Amino acid sequence: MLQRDVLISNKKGLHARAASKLVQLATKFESKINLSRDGQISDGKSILGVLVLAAHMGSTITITTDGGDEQEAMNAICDLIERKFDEGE
Amino acid sequence: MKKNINKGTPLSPGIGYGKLLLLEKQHTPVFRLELEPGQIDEEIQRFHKALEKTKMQLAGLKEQLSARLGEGHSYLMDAQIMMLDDQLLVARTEDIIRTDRVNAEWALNETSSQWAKEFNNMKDKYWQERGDDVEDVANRIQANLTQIDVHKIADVDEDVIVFSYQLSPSDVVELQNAPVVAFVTEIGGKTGHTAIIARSLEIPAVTGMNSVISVARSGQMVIVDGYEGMVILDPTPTQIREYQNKKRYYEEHSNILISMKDRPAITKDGRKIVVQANIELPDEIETAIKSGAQGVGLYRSEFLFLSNPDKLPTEDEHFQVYKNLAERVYPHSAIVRTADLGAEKFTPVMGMGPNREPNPALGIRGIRFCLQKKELFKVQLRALLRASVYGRLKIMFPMISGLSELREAKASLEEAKEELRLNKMDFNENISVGIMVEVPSAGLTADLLAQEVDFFTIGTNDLIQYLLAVDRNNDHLSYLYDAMHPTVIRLMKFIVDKAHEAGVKVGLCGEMASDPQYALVLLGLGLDEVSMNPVAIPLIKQIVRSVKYSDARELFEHCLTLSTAQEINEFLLEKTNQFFPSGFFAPRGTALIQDNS
Repeated sequence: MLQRDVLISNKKGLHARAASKLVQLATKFESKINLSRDGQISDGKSILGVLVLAAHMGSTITITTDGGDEQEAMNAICDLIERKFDEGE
Repeated sequence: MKKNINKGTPLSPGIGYGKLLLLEKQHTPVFRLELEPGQIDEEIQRFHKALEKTKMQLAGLKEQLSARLGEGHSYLMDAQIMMLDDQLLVARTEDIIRTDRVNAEWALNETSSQWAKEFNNMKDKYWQERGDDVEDVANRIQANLTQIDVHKIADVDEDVIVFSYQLSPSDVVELQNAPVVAFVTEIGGKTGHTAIIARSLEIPAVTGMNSVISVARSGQMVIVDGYEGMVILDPTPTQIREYQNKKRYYEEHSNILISMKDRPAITKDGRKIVVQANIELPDEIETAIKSGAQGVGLYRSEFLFLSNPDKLPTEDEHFQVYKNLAERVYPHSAIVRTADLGAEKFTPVMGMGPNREPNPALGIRGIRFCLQKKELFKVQLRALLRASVYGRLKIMFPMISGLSELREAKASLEEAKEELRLNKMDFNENISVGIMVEVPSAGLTADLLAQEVDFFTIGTNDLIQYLLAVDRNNDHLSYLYDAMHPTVIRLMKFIVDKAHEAGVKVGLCGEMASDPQYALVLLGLGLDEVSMNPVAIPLIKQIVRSVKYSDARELFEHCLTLSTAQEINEFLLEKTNQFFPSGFFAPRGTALIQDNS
């Protein structure tokens, strides 16, 4: 199992579009993927779970991946967040 | 009373006999049904079918959206589509179906309202609004869970009586495409638009039937008596015969009334009152003329806006409708009420969503909406002005609350006139301009407003609701919504008196105008015009013809001295029995209301 903290740095945070992209990406992996913020843990493959974290810009979320492709999953998700979800801001 | 007879509130007169068809619709409150253990798997399958159907619909919507706005804007659909696969929604709902042994609608409602609450409790507005997305998705699934929907009943080929929790005005219009001989709802007020449309389309209807709807089963035979608000399930042969006779009798009666419909409404002592029609759809012009209407006292122009939610009506679309109206009603006049949008009457293109206001009845509606959307307003005004040369059109502004609002509305009209002059387009420079008096502050300043208008129309449906602070669609408060509250008749008198002092004519266009029980009061009030559902016109005219104005005047004056609505209603009942000893509908074989004209 891998765990990493990442800073949400895109302007709108994990809003509907960003959350959709994240979930779409997460569902491509076999591993179990969890996101947590302030003690609330959500399934990264659930749009409702990701949205309900209400992670705005500047919040830190903890990502855990667990399974056969945990490394790839972790890299891909962190990459998407660091690329600010390709939103250009 | 036999035990298969149920009493509700009559919404629209007439008698219907047919096979019961139970309809459930989107946004209807969800009912809880207990399942047998053997039904659970089937229920979960039904839920999944609805999910699949919703997914296809949303995918279709997403395509339309991307085609119009580009890929980047369809992401919201993505989030909603994903919710359909989200275990936090799907598996939770299945769990509830399984453990609580309840129907999918109920289980889904539990899950989705929990989610909506979770989002709504968030501090940030953006995330709060995601609760709406969940609700939106859940509503779509709910609609797909429903086995029958109103759009499909066109397939029915025998006389049916529709039972539904609630029907919207457009549902009722749609019912016309099928052999629907009556409908029964659980909620809906007498003054609501659904009732108004049902009456003008002559579909018998009864409401307030919660106890019946919960036991009603599709396929049962039913009699609906829209005169008295009766619903009879599985009637006996005797009851069927009884109602067939009653139906025939009413039809004969109304044939006699209809044969006299074109005679003017003049009292025995020579007082004339102009009886006009309230209409809403171009199709209804014909009904109005056939019913003996002396013009249109209220043309509700909202249908143009609501019939196509995707775009606003163009000036030419408005123009065609008003030109047709003016020409067909001529030589009589037609009063067009400018858009009374707002409250529940919104479409997305108007730039405001529904239910965004905590208190829509007191919110941005009527003239307030138009003055905030001046371009939309002026499109309508220009069209009305252009159509004014084809007949006798009058313009009426709704929801005016005082003089400054009236002046602002008139300024928009002047601008519209100026724009037409610049384009060298013809219009009637002296078109009559009036207001709907339906806000108490307008009623109480009637003397001031009368100086700057050509006519008043008292809109009692809203005036009563605002004066008494009673929501007219709230069934729990219907006992307070009384047109005969002393405050209502006092204010109406003030309005009529102040208008007449200024030489301004006054009409009245609320639902009470079509209620025979109030005909004498309104006559005695001194109105110049009354406008009502076309169906009621022959009867109201006949009532006017059979009394003396001096008697009605005296009756009204006496009402003013009474202290409660109940006292007034009792007094009216007594007087009605005195003037019309055999009722408005006389027993068979005797003369109907005496014909004195």
